[in-house]
Amino acid sequence: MDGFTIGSVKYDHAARELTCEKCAGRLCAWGENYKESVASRTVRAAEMRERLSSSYYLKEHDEVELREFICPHCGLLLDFEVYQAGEPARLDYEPLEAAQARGYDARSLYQAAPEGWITFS
Amino acid sequence: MSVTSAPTAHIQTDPVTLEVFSNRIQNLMKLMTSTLENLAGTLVGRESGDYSTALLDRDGNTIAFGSMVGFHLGHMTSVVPWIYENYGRDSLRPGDMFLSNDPYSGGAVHSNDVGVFAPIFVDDELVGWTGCDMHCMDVGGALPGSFVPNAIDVVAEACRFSPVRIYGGGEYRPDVVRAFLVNTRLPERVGQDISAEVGANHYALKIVEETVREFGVEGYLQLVEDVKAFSEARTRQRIEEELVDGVYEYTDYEEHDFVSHTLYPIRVRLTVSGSELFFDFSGTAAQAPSLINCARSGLKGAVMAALLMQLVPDIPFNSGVMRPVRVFSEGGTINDCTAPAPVSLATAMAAWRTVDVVSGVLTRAVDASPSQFLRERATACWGGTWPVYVLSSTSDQYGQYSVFLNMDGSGEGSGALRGVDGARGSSVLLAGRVPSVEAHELTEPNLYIARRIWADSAGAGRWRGGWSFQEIVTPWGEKAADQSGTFCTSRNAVPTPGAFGGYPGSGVFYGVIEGADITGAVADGRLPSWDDLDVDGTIEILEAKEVWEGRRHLRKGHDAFVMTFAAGGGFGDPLERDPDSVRADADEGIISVEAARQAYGVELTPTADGTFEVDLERVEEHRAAVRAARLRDAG
Ligand SMILES: [Zn+2]
Repeated sequence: MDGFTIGSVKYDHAARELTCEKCAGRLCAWGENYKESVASRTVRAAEMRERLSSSYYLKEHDEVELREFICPHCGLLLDFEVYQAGEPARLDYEPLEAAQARGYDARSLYQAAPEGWITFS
Repeated sequence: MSVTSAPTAHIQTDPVTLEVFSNRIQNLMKLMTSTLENLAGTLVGRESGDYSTALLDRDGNTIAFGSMVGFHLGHMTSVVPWIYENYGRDSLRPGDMFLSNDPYSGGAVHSNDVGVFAPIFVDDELVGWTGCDMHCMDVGGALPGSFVPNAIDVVAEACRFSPVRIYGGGEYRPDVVRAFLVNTRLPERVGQDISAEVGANHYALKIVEETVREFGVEGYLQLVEDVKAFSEARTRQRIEEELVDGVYEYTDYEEHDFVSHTLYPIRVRLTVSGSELFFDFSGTAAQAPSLINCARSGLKGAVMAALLMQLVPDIPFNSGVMRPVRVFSEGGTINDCTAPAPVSLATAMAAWRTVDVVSGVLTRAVDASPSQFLRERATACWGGTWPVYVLSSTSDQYGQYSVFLNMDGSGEGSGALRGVDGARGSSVLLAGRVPSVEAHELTEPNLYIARRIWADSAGAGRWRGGWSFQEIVTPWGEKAADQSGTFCTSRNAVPTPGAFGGYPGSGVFYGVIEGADITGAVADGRLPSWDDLDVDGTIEILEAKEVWEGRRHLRKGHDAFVMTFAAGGGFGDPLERDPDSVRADADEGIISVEAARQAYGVELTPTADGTFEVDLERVEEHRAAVRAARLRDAG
């Protein structure tokens, strides 16, 4: 596997890094969460109305955060996600071996206790 | 990700016969769904497509599914195992037919889903099952329409029947059907819905019998096994060859449980490993104290619905597709709640949100794929809620007790996909069929004052989300009385997510304008406009869940109800959108000039004919300034 792209982020397996599809700038190392190393900011509901128009509606809620993740090299908006306040950034993709290294292996969990999983036929 | 050998080698039926059989059972689904649509008692079935049909094998597994409501798959496949466990296989006779609407017997996502299921016998040999399911407008309970925000358990929500025979050995059982209908506020129309389902099942009984006569019992049962094996093999091949092994993660939120505006995260980790998929919902919020939960059948159905749409839309859908799939849920959660938790809004809330979550995680997986076919199925969130309002009154325009569920939520905007703007009126779960204003006014005691494009509702993006629309109604009709109601929406503080830099679609709300002289305006021969009503200046925006319970009313011709429906999320950075597409969107009223400038970095100049021009020379300069500002603000 040479690599693949999710959104505008290139996962370059050979070079062991993640880069911006638009400017080729390096975002982070392979296996890391790029959202933790790029530029980011929180957008309030009221700011969405200012940016679009008063026709756009979003109820203000203390626990809802809209977060922008921006390429630090070219300013491309890499993702714009909704979070509960204080949550860590979501990991779009993690290699199996990286997940296993930190102790998460769904197949092993299933094999250890298959009756605890829902199957369909 | 690796290339496997020919996956269908063990299938016994020749490919031509298998294709003929596969098409025959798909055509049977079309016959059954058109029967439901033609015979249904309300607009829900006739115009909005909230029904499903299924052909099942002897164990109750899907062989064919006909529907636009993907998550019905969960309970459509749970009814037969429940009947076997509780009544025994040996109790079944030719001519039996069961009615079922209990979310905890596996028979429904919420109690409004009234199903009718029949075993298929040929010469006293059980060869399979047929089933239908339709949203019935009212199935009793504490509030008209059977959406009950203030119910503390499922018992208070509706009349529930675990699977019960309405035909025994071919004999109709009017006592049982009446016992059900006496508990609804619309016995004639719900009775018509049930009759439609019985009729649709008769198509399956007839066509399966003809097929068994053609191939013999053993031959038919082999065909059934082989269509499942074919779909399983194709699905495993797709997972193994076209998805990248790894762990993908996504979260979305249900919100507002009527008691408080609490957020309920639904979290999923998808592991792609070899030819199998593991969906792990650990960390999902505990179940809510009110109607926004769904039970396990809703969770299962949501996983199936999202897979059907994004991973295997080109593979015949049956239980074979699901054999490589495993799901873990901690239970007692908002999308796998424990009895007797209330679930009357499951379809529009937790089950729907679970579809959004699974779709969100699959979007990451299919976007990583080397397959162009799969990448084109990477999508921002589609609408993402079904705003539910039920108006009721002591008298409709014809003088009858009135309960009306608005189904216009099926006209929500779809999410933008990689390479394609979202479509208007493309619900992720229904076919985007919004009843016409005329159909509404014929059957409900309302006057439609407005139905219009909702500017800036669509999530901005390189590919824009599907826009949504807004409506205004007032109670109307000679004999019509003032109307009370139940109002429920989500996507109120948690907007419909975009994908990969696409903006979220607008949040959804309901509102009321009190004291407008609509009666007077109509007497003068005109409908008041949005501006006449001063909607933006005088609207009272409702809470995301409200119950008026007869204590508050919309007054006929004087109070107007404002509805908004969910729009789709955008895909990709809006600054990457073709400037001419931005101009075209402004020409059509889909986006405002402010949004064009601030979100898309495109300055528009109005022309004499009301359209816009764009100075292409200046676009890049302006966009560069917006990008610089982003980085500056991000610090
Ligand atoms: Zn960049």
